[in-house]
Amino acid sequence: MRTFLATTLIVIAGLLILWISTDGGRAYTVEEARRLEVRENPRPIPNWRLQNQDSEMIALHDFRNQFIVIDFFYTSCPSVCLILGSSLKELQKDFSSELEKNNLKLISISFDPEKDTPQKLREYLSHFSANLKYWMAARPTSSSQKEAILDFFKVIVIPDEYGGYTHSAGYHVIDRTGRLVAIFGIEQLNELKEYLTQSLNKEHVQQD
Amino acid sequence: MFNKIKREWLLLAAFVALALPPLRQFLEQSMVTHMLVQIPILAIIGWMIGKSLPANWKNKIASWNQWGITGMALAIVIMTYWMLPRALDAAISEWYFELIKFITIFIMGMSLSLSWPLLHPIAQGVFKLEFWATFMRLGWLYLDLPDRLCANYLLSDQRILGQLLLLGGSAWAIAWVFRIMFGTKIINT
Amino acid sequence: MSSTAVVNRKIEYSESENRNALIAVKAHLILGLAVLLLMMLAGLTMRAVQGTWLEIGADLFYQIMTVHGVGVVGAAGIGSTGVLWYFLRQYVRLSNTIFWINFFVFVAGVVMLLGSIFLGGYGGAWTFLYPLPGKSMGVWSTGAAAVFQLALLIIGTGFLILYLDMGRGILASFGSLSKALGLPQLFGRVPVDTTHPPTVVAGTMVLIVNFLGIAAGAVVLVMGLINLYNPEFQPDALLMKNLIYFFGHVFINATIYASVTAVYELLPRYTGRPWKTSKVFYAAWFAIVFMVMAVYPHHLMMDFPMPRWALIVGQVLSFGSGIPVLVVTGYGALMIVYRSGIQWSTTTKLLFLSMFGWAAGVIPAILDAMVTVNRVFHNTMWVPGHFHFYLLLGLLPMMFGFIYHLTGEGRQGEQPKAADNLGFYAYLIGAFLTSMVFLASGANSIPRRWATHMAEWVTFAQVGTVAAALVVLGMLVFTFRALFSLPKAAEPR
Repeated sequence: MRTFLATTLIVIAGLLILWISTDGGRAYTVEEARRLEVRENPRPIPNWRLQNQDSEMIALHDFRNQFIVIDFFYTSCPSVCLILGSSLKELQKDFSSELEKNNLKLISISFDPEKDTPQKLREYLSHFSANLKYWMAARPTSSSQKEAILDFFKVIVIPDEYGGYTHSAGYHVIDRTGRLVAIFGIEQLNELKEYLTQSLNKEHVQQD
Repeated sequence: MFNKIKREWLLLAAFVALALPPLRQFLEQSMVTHMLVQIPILAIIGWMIGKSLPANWKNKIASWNQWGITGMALAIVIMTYWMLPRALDAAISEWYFELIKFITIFIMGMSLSLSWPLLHPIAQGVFKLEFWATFMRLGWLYLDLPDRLCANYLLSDQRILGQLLLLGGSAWAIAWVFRIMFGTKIINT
Repeated sequence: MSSTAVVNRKIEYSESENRNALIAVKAHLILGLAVLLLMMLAGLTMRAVQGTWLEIGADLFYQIMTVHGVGVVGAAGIGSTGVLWYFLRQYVRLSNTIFWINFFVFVAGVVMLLGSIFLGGYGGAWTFLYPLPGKSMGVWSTGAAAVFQLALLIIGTGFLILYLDMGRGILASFGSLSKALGLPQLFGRVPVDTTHPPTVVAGTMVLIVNFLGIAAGAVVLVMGLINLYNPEFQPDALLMKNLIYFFGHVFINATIYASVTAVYELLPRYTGRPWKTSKVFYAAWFAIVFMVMAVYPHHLMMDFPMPRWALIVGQVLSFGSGIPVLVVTGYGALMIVYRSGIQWSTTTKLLFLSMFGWAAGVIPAILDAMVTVNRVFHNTMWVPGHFHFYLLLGLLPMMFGFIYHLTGEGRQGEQPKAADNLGFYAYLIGAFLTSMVFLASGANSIPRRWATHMAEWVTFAQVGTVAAALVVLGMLVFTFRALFSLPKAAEPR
């Protein structure tokens, strides 16, 4: 009887803990968890000031009233950042009219500010034939700021065995009011496009 | 008597050593050592402490743990929890999750040592096969998944772990086959 | 006599244990029989649909096909387990509780299967071949496919528990599985003991292969489940197929090797001559342990990425796999019956029929196992022809014969009743025709697993329907006999 009671208690408590710690069976990995979290609780981004490829200072709040797609990268990255970059290039093409109307901005933020000088950032953008009016690259101005940014986006960067980094790769969408509203994985480019198309249209209707 | 106390102190010392930064960070650097060295050692320490608990404690616990059911349930809950990739990541990022990990894995080892001998032999067999299958499933999963499960570990780490799990599972299976086919013991691998 | 051999082989049980065990065995047989009858009705329905005598939607057809497949495999499993357990417990101590646990786990699994198929609409065939369960194009939900695979996992666990108990019992009585298989005798380390029970040898073989088969199933089913809910995990489809067929082929094969214990145990009782084990007998069963596990690649001969050597091994072993135990058993059965003055009852007729079905069933199997033939034949009706032959004429007669034995038929010089004779011949003719029509359809390139048949195939399906109706008629007689006579029948001595 005691055994039965104790076992039932443990099983119920255990299932409850597992349920809660997977957000109700929806997120098993940190990556899934951060995507789910911003979808359910969009959070306003702080007004960080970053240095862009032309050594100018930009502030994230400069782009209020626009959607922003942010990706994180480092310029010497041999693999996943190249996919991110060419995907942003694709966005630049597919959403050219929205970009022209200043409804959308693309920002690539480096998490390797020591090596990624503005010069390097510019080279990186030119690789992808970026139009600097619509797509900019930027680096944090201090390591504490870098940590704060990575922490806010819950991007985890770890050194790999080739002297580079492995990192959470994805597209982070900021809405017009400056809130982080969605994160898409690198494999979800189509979902990202759909999401942008929908949100941009929806906002137009509201404005009209 | 003296020997016994000494052994417990040694185990505790090992536990503390694992918890101290140099060894802890070293083992947690890679998914392989984290999952195949650190966690198993913690469980084994728990198992051995569980073995050397005073008899009257054991008896008290046993009245709550008929046939070892309660302890196995607890161990399985803990095991399942730490099999969540999220949980492992959290243990690296947040100190309080790390603390919970050290405590719960220790408890898991202890409850296994207190419950396993009480378990019906058939149930032991089912659990063994289930553990084995979990080795094979996870090994396969780690080898085949295109993405990293843990944000703190490299994909190559995950692949190596997958290979090791499959290797370990196969070795286990072969050992088991030999024991049952040609050995004289009743199943107790 | 080696030191570990038990002097008195028969295990003593208490009166109440024996009574409970008999009830459990009867429950297994009746459940198996009832499920089989329903599955034969399902088969009849499918043939009638293909013969244009009945119209149902394609969705329902595939649901029926799925339930037919999984139902027959499951019923064969539970029924043959009843046979094997009944005889094995005379030589090794087996637990009634564990036997019952497996039974109820099985029933729970069946309920889940039915729910997933008829409520959830799962119709992806019982082989749940990856990635089909996850790609229903809206015909069934992910949940239905998941419940189906979960149910198989649960049923597998039930059997596993039972095999662990059998393993424990065998090890307790014989020390190791190799001793139980008679290997030390085969390799001359100890003198041949002709009273070593053949049932123990067969039971050990079944235990080994099914344990491994279920272990593979336990891995592959969970991988399928992970894929259902996490589609980005895409396991190697060929590896999945290998494991699935390893599991499925071993499981269904093992049913016939479990049921053959009825032949070993019952023919001696009806002829008064003991079944003597010999080196040849041990060698045959030792070989079959490996062969049963290695023949499944004949299901993969159309998969060109399969390594060539695996297919060749599959072909060679498929040729040989049926032979050893079959020859040993068939020859042994003939020798035991020859001039023994055996009294022909329904039991002995059925057991003898099973020997014929098993022997003749090898022929279409061997044809199918030839790589060149297989490439053309494997997705035709030839394959259902092959396994209907084995199951209808080989496996099921063993089970039915055992059931008739349990009802006490043939005791006190009682003659078979007219109804039993009618049932036997209806079943015999129907089963033979059913299989032959399948084989003929296959030879005429009629595909298997098609809900709708082209006009020129319809005649085959119609003949098949008539044949299937005959099988159902015979089966009805057997089922009624079991339902009316079995529950109150005393333990035959």
